Amino acid sequence: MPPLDPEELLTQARQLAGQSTQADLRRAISAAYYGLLHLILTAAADIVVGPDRRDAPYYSLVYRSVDHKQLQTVSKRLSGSKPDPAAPVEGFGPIADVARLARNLLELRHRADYDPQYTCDTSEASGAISDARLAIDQFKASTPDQQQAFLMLLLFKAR
Amino acid sequence: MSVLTDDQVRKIAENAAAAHGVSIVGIGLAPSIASTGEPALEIKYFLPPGSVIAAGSSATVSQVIMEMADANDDRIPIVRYASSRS
Repeated sequence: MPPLDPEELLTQARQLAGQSTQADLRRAISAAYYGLLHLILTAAADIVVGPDRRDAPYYSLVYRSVDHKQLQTVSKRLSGSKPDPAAPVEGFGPIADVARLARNLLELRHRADYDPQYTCDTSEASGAISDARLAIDQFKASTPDQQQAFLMLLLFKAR
Repeated sequence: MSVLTDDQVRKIAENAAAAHGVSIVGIGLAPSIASTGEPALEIKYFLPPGSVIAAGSSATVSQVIMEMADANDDRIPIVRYASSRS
């Protein structure tokens, strides 16, 4: 079974962002975040198990091993412009944008999904969709080495 | 804990928006708590009435987060956009 398509989630987010209710706008932000998250989870599982083994029972095991907390930790680590020891020789490049935008989206998603006092408007929902779009594009623009270094940090906790 | 002043954060946010061609009418700052329980700072860009999210809006978000990290501000920046009422 193919993983959830990030583009379908972004399409859904855009449709919801065109509505006026808080329920729709909040769901748009959530869908934008999950569009990016599922791209990352698919890439992580593909790199460990292989894209040709998506039907293997342990594919889901790897897919679900990355949690929000680890994404927060890695995103914070890569937020600045200083070189990171885990980076490939060319540095993290566009992956740093992915990390920063993922963290921001995660916080917006958390508010949208759980905070009873949170309110947002179309601009905020559209901004979240734009963040997810740029993060996905930057992930795809990064080199295999940059992607691999980022995904390994997400999959394996540093000790 | 290292914390930038509001004026310093505002300057970072203004410069990032200008660098990426994002037209704004104001910036709001508010202390907050991140989903992890860590201290956070909400940075809200107010867009001109009737305007839409610009192409550089997300690059602006990324730059603000990068510059706050480079300045060793320990708070988690949460960058938001909102429309100004006309």
